[in-house]
Amino acid sequence: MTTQQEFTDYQIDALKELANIGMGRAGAKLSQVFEHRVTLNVPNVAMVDEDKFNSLALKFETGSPIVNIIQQSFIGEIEGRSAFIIGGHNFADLVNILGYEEYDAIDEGHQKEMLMDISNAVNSACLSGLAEQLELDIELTNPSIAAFNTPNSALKDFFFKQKHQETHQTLLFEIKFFIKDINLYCDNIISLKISSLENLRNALERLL
Amino acid sequence: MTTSLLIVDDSTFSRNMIKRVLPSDWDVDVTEVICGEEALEVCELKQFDVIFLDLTMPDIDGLDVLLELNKRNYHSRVFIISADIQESSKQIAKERGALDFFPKPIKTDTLLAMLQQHEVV
Repeated sequence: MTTQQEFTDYQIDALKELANIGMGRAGAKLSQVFEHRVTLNVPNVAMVDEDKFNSLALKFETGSPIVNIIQQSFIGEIEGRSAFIIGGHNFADLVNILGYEEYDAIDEGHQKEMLMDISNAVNSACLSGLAEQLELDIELTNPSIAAFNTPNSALKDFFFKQKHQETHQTLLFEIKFFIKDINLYCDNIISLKISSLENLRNALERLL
Repeated sequence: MTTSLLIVDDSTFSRNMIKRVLPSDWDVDVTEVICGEEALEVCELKQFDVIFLDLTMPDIDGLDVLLELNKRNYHSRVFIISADIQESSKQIAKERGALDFFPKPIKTDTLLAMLQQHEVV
C-alpha cells in the first residue's frame, strides 16, 4: 500500500473540513487584525509529492512583487511545518494599515516581530481546528522569518531549499486568505511529516 | 408534522456531523446538496421549511445563495452553519435573511437550544 492510498476520499474530505474550521478561526483573527473582511476559500488538502508541494507554493500570486515568508514548526502527536506567505503590499503599507507609528515602520526588528505575531496567530488558529477535533496535542515552535520584503521570485529559492525531507510525499494543507479591501494575500501552507500520518489516521478513525 | 430540511454543505463529513447532532425527536425529512448551485436548483423545485447553509463553498458561497433566494422571494427559515466566524459574515448573513448562525463544529446542545429559540422544534 502506498502512502497515497492511506487516506480514503472520505478521510481527506474530513481533513478538509477540519482545516476549514481552523481556517475560519484564522480568518476571524486576520479580520480583527486588519479590520477588514477576509475572503475564505475551501482549503486544499492532499497527499502530494514534494515537487507538487513546491509548485503549489510557487503559484502564490500576490498582485505585488514583494512577499514575506514566515516559517514555523509544530511538534507533538503530529508534527510538521508551515510556511505563511504574505504579500500584496510592501511593509510600509502594511504598517500603515495596521496603524503603527512611523517609528515602527522603519524599525526592521519591529516589522519582523509583527509578521511573526501574525503568522503565529494564524497558525495557532489553523492548527487548533485540526488538533482540537482530533484530540491531538501539538505545540507550535517559535516562528522565524524565511524571507522579508523579498521579491516574489525568491519563493522559488525558499521552497526548493526545503527539498531535503526524508520522504518524497507529504500531506499538504493549503489555506488561502484574501483581503479585498486592502489587496492583501496570505497563503498558509502546512505539511505533515510522514512519520505523523499514522497518528493522524488513527485520530481520524476515532472521530469518524 | 414532518419538517423538510435542506442541508447545503460541500463536505460529506460535515453533512454527516450535522445529521448526527439533529434532535432525535425532530420529525424531519432531510435533503442534502453539495454546493450553492445545487441548493438553488432544488429550491426551484421544492419549498423547504428549514435550510442549514454553509458559507464557504467552491462555487456559489452561502452569502450569495441568500442573496439569490431573496431575489426569488423564496421564504424559508435559514440557519448558517459555518466555520467562517467573522463578525462581518454573521452580519451580512443576517441582513440577507438568515435567522441565526452556528459556528462549526456544531454541538447537539447548541443546535437544539437555537432551534428551540426560533421555535423550529
